[in-house]
Amino acid sequence: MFGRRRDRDRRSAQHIAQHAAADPRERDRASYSKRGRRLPGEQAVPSYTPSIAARSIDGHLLRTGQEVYAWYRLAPQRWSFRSDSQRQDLIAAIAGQYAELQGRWMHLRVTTRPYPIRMWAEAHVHNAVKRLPDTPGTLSFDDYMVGEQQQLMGRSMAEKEVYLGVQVQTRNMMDRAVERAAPVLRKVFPDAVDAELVALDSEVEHLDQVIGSAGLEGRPATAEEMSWLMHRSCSLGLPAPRNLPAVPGAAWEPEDLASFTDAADFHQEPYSPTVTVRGRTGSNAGIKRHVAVLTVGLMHGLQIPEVDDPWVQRADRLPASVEWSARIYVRKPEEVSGELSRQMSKVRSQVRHYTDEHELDPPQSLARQAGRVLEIDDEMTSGFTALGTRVRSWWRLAVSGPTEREALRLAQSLLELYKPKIAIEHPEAQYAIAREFIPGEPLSNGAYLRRGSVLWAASAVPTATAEVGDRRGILLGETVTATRRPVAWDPWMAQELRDASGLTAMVAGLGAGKSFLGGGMVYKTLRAGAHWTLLDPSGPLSALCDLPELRPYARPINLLNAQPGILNPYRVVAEPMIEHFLDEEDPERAWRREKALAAATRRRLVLDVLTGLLPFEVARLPQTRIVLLRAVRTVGGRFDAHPGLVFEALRRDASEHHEHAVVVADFLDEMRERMSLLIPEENHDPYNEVRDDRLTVLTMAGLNLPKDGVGREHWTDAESLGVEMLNLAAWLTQRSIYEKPKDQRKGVWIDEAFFLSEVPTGRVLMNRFARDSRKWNVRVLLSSQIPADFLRIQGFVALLDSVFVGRLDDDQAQADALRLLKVPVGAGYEQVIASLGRRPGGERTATERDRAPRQFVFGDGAGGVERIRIDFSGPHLEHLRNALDTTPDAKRGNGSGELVKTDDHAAPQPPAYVPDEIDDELAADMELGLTEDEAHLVGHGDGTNRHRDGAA
Amino acid sequence: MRVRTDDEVYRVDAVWLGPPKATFPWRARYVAWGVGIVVFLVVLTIERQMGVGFGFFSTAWALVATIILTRFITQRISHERPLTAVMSMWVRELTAPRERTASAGGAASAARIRVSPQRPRPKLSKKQRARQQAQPRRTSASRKKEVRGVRTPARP
Repeated sequence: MFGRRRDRDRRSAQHIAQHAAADPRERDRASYSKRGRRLPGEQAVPSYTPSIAARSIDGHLLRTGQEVYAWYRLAPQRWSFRSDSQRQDLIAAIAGQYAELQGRWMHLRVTTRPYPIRMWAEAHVHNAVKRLPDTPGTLSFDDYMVGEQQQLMGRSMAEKEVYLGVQVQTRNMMDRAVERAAPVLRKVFPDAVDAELVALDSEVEHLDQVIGSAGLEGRPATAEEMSWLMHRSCSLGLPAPRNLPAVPGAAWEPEDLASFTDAADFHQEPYSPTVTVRGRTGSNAGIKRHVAVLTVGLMHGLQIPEVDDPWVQRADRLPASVEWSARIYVRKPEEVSGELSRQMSKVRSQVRHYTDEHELDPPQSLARQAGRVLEIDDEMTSGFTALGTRVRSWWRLAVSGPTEREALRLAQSLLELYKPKIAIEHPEAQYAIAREFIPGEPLSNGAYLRRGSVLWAASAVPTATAEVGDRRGILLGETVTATRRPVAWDPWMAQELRDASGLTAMVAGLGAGKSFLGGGMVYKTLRAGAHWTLLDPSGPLSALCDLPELRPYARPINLLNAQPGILNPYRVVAEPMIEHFLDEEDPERAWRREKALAAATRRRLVLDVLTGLLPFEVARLPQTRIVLLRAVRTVGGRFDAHPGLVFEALRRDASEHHEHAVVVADFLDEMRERMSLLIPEENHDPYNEVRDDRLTVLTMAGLNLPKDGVGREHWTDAESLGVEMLNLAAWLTQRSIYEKPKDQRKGVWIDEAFFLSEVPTGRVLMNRFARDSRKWNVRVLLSSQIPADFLRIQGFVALLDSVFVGRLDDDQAQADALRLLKVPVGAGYEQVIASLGRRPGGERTATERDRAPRQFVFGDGAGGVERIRIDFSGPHLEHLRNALDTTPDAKRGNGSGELVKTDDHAAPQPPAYVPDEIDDELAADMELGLTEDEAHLVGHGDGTNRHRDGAA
Repeated sequence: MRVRTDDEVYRVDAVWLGPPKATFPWRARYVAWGVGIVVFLVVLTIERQMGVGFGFFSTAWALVATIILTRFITQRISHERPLTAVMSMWVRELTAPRERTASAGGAASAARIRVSPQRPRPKLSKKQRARQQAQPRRTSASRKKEVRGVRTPARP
């Protein structure tokens, strides 16, 4: 009693509070005679029934009135550059998964998520931190970005997405009744509402497991993915919506599905070849697309994977995106065998009808059909695997265009694409078939039914992709295998995101476009804010420094003309700085350890270089090593030492090998003039000045290097000096990374990196690169003409992140290149390497230069391996192309312009060492290599001769 | 690995050549016979409806019409497109939504809505009216008191 009264009081109090501020006339309502009448409540809200079959979406479960489907997102599978057996295994694994789904319907949907070039540009600009300031009067960064986008106008890095819906269960009357009564039941008996899905739990778990195993590698679709799939299906053929409605945290109720169905509507004229889809909301409002829906017709036998592509993947070759929708029913064996026997008796009775009743010859096809029935029966009953399981399936494709003509043209090119082996049909009832693409919709009709084994269905491999690179890096070109999509690559993504090393190998034969690719990469990343140091022994890359927009930030250095001591082996190893170790646990200790390591590296390097400079016969003697080692140890590993101190230490050697030490010292002293780059002049250390350049190109034009395949023992002095200098130059290049902040994006490119396998310290350098490239955010680019050079360095392949392989003609080189790419050898891919880009002798009499874009096989280190075409075309990069054109052409220009340019950048060089006459002579000696003895006799007495005798 | 479909097995052309030992000069599938019989009956029915009497010539013409119609229908069906599928596609073509060219509705008009400035009030009883008359006097008096000093706007 009290309770009630109090309650009433409170209510009236509330009432007063509510109406206190209201219009005084409102108060009159209290005396209105019909005040007791009930207002329409929830019951009066008109109920909403979606125009599609789907009724609700809970997680990855989609419920229609009759069925429950579980939707999965399938993982993309690499197809190119895998061996046939790997591909067969993949197909068999998928077939096995299909076979486990006996008695169920599946709905396979292939759609695309576009990634237009403008989105790449946005990502690229965001990624270009601390980019190169624009130089007035040259190509600015903005113009460069505009040019890049114009070059790929309208192209897209669309990503294919494959979804698979699997029927979990059909729903019964009870389930539907419970769903209908859900609003009431939720208050009275909340458990009953969820009972249906709870009961399915183990079933769904089983499906998750089947689809998730190797092969399809599907994972339950997320709410966002379900929303995307529904959107793409309900507005089939329309451009992707720029922004999707927010994904709810809870289940989609029938009313929520309106957000999908209202986005577009479909209509068609009777027997028109396309269905028109009209966008109504969002970014697609008012946009109309004509969608041509096709279906897969009769199919010949296909040789997958040996000859033919997976047949769904083939559609990726079309320049427009193709949507797929396949309904697959996996049949139970008993069902099939009954049908087969019926079919067999049909054939028999026909044969009897022809022969017995009419005395005619039966058509050949009947005998063939009887044979095929027996074959299928055999496939199904033999073996323990379920790969003989049969499916019934309907495969539909949709292409769209802004006009009916455009859509039909695409449909026609799809027909052509599949032509000889697979018939693509264009059925009527376009609207009905277009609706099949929407998850949950029933099959519109049974025409164009394709029957086959699960193996046949699996060989469609819709998940096969041809993706390589990333979506924020510099544009390299486009893929040229199954699809044509732009390839972008961010050389620092591996270190910054994937925790991988920054080592890249670039292998290609002469004229295969190594310097073009590398130069383009350097140019584009410089624009995006990277710092590069290039070691280019032959020198054409110094042309990069002449590009007007780079010139203020670039410095070419010809090491052979540089100051004495620039290649001092004690200085090319950087001295660790304590501020780089502040993030370590014990900075002091780490720094000391690193210092000790640097000192050891210096000693090792000096020993290595000096041994390399000695004649091979002397260097091989054990005493030589002993005395050198001792001398090097005496000098220590300080950064301010130089090889001259080692010579002195050798002369002071007081051990039992004293005589030999003096001999070695004499030998080395003899070379001293030629080693001027290694030994600094008194009080004139070139490392005292520090410059901050974004691009440093170290060239060694005129260096004498041994030819390929000539053994170490046959090298001339000049050649071994050349190799050692190159080695030191590589160390110098490497040193540059320690002079810049740790997080800054840095790049190092060492051309002609073959010497790394020739000198013992090459491996030490490689290890340093591999270890520090991630920590110091460096991309190390090593290029060579012979892949075996890299393979000879132990453990190199394991350290490698990405690989570019250009055309190689030698069989062994091709196999080695495949090893670098981690691609099966002997599976026929050698041919691919041989056919990349142009081939010499293709047109022997051609007088025109081959200007076709060069092709490379690119392994991006993240699992993608693809054949790409390097494309730095576009008018905005013309000056870059001209600068990188290393092919000699006597007719080019008149030479004067070139001369002026070289003079130009000779001026800002660091105080150059002025070579005197003797050096010129020496340089000439070194060029010739063989005449050195005579030259020395004239120039410096008979020292060399004596030593030669001694060595002999 | 050679993969192929099982479609060939299901493409058996079941034909009826005629009664034993009496081979017809044409070969027709069972489907064609079935369709032919139905069409023939339909044609005969239509003839009756049109008032054509049953006779030799009318039946002969019906037969000719049946053959033409049956050929027309069977040309459109095949193993790929069975009769039922073709029929259902035909129905789907007819029932597909069309583009709406005529606009529905038009300019919104409120002409048919009755508008009155005041809502009807309940009639007051004598007692209430008396109270209401008394009230304003009191309120106006009290208000005059409360807002004393504020100039009242001049009445026109």
